[in-house]
Amino acid sequence: MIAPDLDEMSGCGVWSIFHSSGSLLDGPRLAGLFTEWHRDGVPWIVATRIDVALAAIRANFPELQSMLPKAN
Amino acid sequence: MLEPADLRAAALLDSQVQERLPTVERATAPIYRDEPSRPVPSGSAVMLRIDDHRFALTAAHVADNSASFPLYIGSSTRPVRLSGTKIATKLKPGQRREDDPLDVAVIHLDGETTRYLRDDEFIDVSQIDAGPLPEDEIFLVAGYPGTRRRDIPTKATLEVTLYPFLACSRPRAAYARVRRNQRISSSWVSQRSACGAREYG
Repeated sequence: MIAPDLDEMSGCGVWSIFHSSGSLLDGPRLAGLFTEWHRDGVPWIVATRIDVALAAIRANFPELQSMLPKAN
Repeated sequence: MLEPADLRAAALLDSQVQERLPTVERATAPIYRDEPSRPVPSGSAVMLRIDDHRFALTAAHVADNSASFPLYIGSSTRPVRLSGTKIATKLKPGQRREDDPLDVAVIHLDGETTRYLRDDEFIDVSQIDAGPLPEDEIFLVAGYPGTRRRDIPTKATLEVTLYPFLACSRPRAAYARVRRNQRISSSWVSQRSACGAREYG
């Protein structure tokens, strides 16, 4: 397997595309943000869950609280 | 060597994922820093709208570049100066961004930026998956790596291409082993998922 250099991918989305049942979602859903990648052996990436960004929005824009998904 | 059934399954998955890419592509923007001689790719972002508010979600180490250079996002029509209020994960005294266990920034976009962005370049909250994420799950990752850019000096243009691939989340224990080798604190593990990436598309 050959993977390209992923520099500048940082900040892009990590999207859920499957239900837990295994079927495909109707549309992709943003689950996290890509923050880091490595290529030692099998290439791997690190993502931070989207809850972290939502928590920042919740804390700074309390008027949006009711529109955001509930915190886990 | 893949069996014919595996190849058929891969082809089916490929077609299904391709159908879902336009949404991801519209909401994913390349970020550039405006260095004196030319724009330099700096990262990627996902655009989110909530009510009348517009946000760019990205990595904190990408947003931090705004301290040295103006940042631009590539919209569907033109580069747009990225301006607004940056909210980034806090660093402890003496901590560097590379040691930030979360590394997330939310930029609340101001009117000067949003006036050039169409509504369909943003996702809304119904397109967020904030629930618990299972391990061994397959995710779609798509952004703008620097290696997929092409300078066209005659047109003063920098052309970038979305690079999508599928990644499978791994048990945290696997990630913890890697991080321990690199002497990173275990709190990092509690907040992040580890993914083995495989090329897609």
